[in-house]
Order: sequence, then structure tokens, then C-alpha cells
Amino acid sequence: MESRAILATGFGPRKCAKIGQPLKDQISRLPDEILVYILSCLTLKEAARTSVLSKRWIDLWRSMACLDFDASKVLKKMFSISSWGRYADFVRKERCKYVEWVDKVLLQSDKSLALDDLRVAFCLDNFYGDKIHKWLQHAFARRVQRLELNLFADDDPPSSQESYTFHYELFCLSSGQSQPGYSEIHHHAQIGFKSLRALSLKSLNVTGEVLEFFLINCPFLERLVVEASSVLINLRVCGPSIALKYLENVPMLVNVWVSGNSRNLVRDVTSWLSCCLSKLEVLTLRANKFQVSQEKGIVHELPQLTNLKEFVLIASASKDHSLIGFTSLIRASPNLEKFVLKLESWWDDMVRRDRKLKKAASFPLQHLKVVELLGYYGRRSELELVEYFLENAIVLEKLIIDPRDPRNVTWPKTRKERKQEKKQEKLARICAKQQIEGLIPSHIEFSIL
Amino acid sequence: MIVLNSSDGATFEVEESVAVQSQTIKHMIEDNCADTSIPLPNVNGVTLARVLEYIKKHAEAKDDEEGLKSFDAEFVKVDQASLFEIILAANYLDIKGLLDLTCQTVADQIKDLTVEEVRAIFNIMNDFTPEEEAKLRNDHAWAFE
Repeated sequence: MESRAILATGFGPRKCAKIGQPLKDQISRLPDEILVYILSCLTLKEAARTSVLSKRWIDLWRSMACLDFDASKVLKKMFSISSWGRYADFVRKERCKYVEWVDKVLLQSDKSLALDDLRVAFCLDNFYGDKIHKWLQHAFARRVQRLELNLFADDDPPSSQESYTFHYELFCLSSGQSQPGYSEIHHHAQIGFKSLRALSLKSLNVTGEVLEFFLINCPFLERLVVEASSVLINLRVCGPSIALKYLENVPMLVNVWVSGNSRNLVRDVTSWLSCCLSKLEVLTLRANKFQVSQEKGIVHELPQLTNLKEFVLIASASKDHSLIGFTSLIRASPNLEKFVLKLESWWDDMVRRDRKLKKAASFPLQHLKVVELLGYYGRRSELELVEYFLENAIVLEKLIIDPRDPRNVTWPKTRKERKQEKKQEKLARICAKQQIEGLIPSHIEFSIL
Repeated sequence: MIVLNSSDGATFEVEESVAVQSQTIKHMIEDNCADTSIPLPNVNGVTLARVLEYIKKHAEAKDDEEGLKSFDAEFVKVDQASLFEIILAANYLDIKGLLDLTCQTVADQIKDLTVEEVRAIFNIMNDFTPEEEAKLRNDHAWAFE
């Protein structure tokens, strides 16, 4: 085999025999589909820049199957403006820009090209409702497979009047009777829903009706994320019988993430998901401060989650409220193998109260092998859980403590923030060692990350 | 053992379990077109040898994530022409991992460069008039911020 010389690209010795010939354009030998594949490894802006390379490249980027309208740098800037006046101006200007950007790229794209991923993430409310509606229509006409719509409300939860609400027309299933052209769009939209595999809706109004629509019409839906929708509570009112009828058509729905504003999170979630509960394999619950304080070790009569293998609880670590109430869900999952707790703290949550440890009813957990606690800080709420698992998880193999912030922050942190963070992590690790190490029997693998 | 023939007549032997990382070869075997040897008229000997190096390594060290990562990093340190030959071969032979690796490598080269720099690296000829280019840049102003 010939030895592989690493030539400096573009500036190496001429390989052509004819003297005076320019170096060959190798990349143009690649067919369009490969060039598009390469472009899909780049961000949307980087890919669009290639349109200026040469005439061949003008529209290649338009064939990309993934459109991620990422404006995280702008969002970071936005969240760091302290003066209200400047903030309002900045937001107004940037919103217009963002909407124009999505309009330009998405609405001008070829409707017949299948779209794999569409991500729209910016703080937009119902004022832009019509625009958002058009984008969604377009996305479904292009048979989008993974759709993420994250509208970053100012408040958490957002006030329901201002949040974007789905236009009913998007879901119109009627065809034939309407005006010419209109039914054509909806025919496509109908087909488009069948390709949907993953749907993520954050900070917009998602009613029970909308969710039911997606669950009935998207037979391949595998992943459903609904976050910060203040009207989700209405799903309870629809009644379990309706949920029963429609949820039966989601054989693939095994992974659900829920966060909402119900009063008793665990009880409400299990009643809402009542008929796919027995099929669920992974459940992620996000509990805000209020909900954490409500789950005070109330014992619920819960239906069994017979297939649940992994339970992820994302909780706000506010005021060291006890999380022991959530073990009711663990008890209802006889085949649970993995439990992950992600504690999210703001700077004023970094307190360790000295209170008595709460206990939950003893109950052998027959399959629980792995327990991970992320965002550990040595608080009472965390210790309670550790003791609970050590006592009840009879086949426990691994206990992992990770003091690092579990949030996927979309922007890089400043040096100061990181320094402060490292300090707290160090403290947390020492705490974990002191508090827990002595309690662990030798057959369990214990690691502090 | 499967025998592969490159476009320039070179012959290579490889285990079937390794060769089926190529979906193209896998289908040929399934369709019984692989009696004596499989002709690959779109891949030359040098490139085929490199591709086989890749799939052999990925078959034997399947679970060694770290090892494979460093192997992959070294594997793509070749000149442009060879890299593109490998991309074309990976595409023809339908080897997803190799295609992903090589395309990502090219993408990484483009990532942080200006348009002029990309043209220089890949010797792409600019066939726009200055007015055409200016208009395009203006139409896509959002991409150039």
C-alpha cells in the first residue's frame, strides 16, 4: 500500500502533469446528494453561505432536510439586558428579524421536498399566530418527521391569552367540500401528519383537543414533549373515556415527557396518560416549585406502570422541599430499572436546611438497578431519597452522584459563572462523600462524578 | 470469505461478517450475486484497500469507543483527493458510518471559513459576476451576519 502523504490542501505541489494548469476542483466531482449531506452537518447559516461559492452551489443548501432556526446567541444577549427599555426595543427588533428569517427560508422552500427536522425556537406569542400557522402548514405539507416549536414565554407559566394557540384549520380533516385549492392544502396536511415521529411543543397553548388530534393522526409518533402550557390542565376535564378511545392508536408512544400546572402532578399525569400508562417505557416528569411542595408524601392509589423501565424526575430544588412524595410513582412501576433525578437550582436554592429526614413506606423494588442523582448539593431532600433507595432497592447495582448542573444550557457561561459553579460542585462532592459513603454496602457501585 | 474486485483489477479478500457493513455488498450476497467474486467497478484498488481497513477495524474493535474514535481521527488525515474518493466509495458501497465520518470531516473544514477561504481550499472557481455575487449575498444577508 502506498504511504499516505498528508498534503497541505490547496497549496501542495501540483499533481497535474501539465505545467500551468490550475489545481483541480475535486469537490465538484461529488454528486449533489453528497454535497447536501455534507451541508447538513453545518448550521443553517453556514450552509446558506455556500450558495455564493459558485453557480453549482446556489441552491444546494435548500435541499437540506434539517432546518434548525437557531438564534441562541441572540437569546442569550436578550436575557442579559437589564434595562427594561432596552430589552423591549431589542426584543421587538429581533422578533421581526427572526420571523422574517423563517418566512424567507421556510416559505420559499420546495414544498415537495421531505423535511426531516424543523426547529423553531424564539420568544414569539400569539401576535405572530398567523405566521406560525403558515410555518406549521408548510412543515406538515413537507411531511416533517421531527418538529420542535419552542416559544420561550416571558413568564413561566405563560399567560394563556398571549401564548400561541393552534389554529383549528391546521387540523381540519375535511376535504372535498371546501373551495378549490383549500382542500388540496389540507389533503397534504392530512398526509403530512402521518410522518410525524417526534413532536416538541414548549410555551404555547396545547389543549387536550390538540394533543388528542396528534395522538389519533400520527401513528408513528414516538416522542411527545409538551412543556409550559398553562391550558394543559384542561385535559383532565376531557374525561378518561375519551383518552381511552384515542390513546389506543399510539402503539409507538413509549416515551413521554410531561410538565404542566396541575395541582397534584403525579395523580394528574397518571390519569391523563391512563391508557398508555401500561405501555410506557420511559417517563420524564418535570415538577415546578409549586408542584414539588404539593407532593408531600401523599400516598396515591396509582395504576400500575407495568412496562416502565426508566423514570426521570426533573425537579426544582427550591427550599429543600421533600421529594419523597414522588416515590409513589416508583412503587407503581414494578419493573423499573433506572431512576434519574435532575435537580435544577437557582442561586437562592443553594441552601441546606437542617430538618428531619422524611421516610416513605417500605416497599421492595425488585428491578431497580441504577439510581442517578444529578445536580446534587447535599440537601435533605436528596439524602432522603438516597436512604429510601438504599433501604428498598434490593437489587441496586449502581448509585451515581453528579453535582454538576443538569440543565442543557444553550449558551456558553462566562468565566465568573463557571468559577462559581466549580466551587459549588467541589463543595457538593465533599458533602456527598461525607454523607453517603459510609452508608453504601460494598456490593453497590458508588461513584461521585 | 468474500472476494472483491476493484475497478483496476486488484483483488481483496474479506470476511463476510465484516463485508456486510456495506449495505450494497450485503444485498448482493443476499441476492446471490456473490458466487465467485463481487466486482466493484466504481472503486479503485487504493480506495478499496482504505475502505476495507475501516470496516475491518470497526468490526474487530466494535465496543472500544475510545479506540475507534482515535482510529477515525487518524483515518481521515489524508489528502483531499483521497478523502473524496473515500466519500464516493462509502456512498456507492452504502457504509453509513464511513460516509458520516468523511462528510463530517469535510464539513468541519468548511465550518469556520469565509466563502473566499472555502473557494481557495477546494479550488472552486467563482463563476459569478461581481453583481451576481453581491445580489446573492444581499438576498441571504441573514446568513452573513
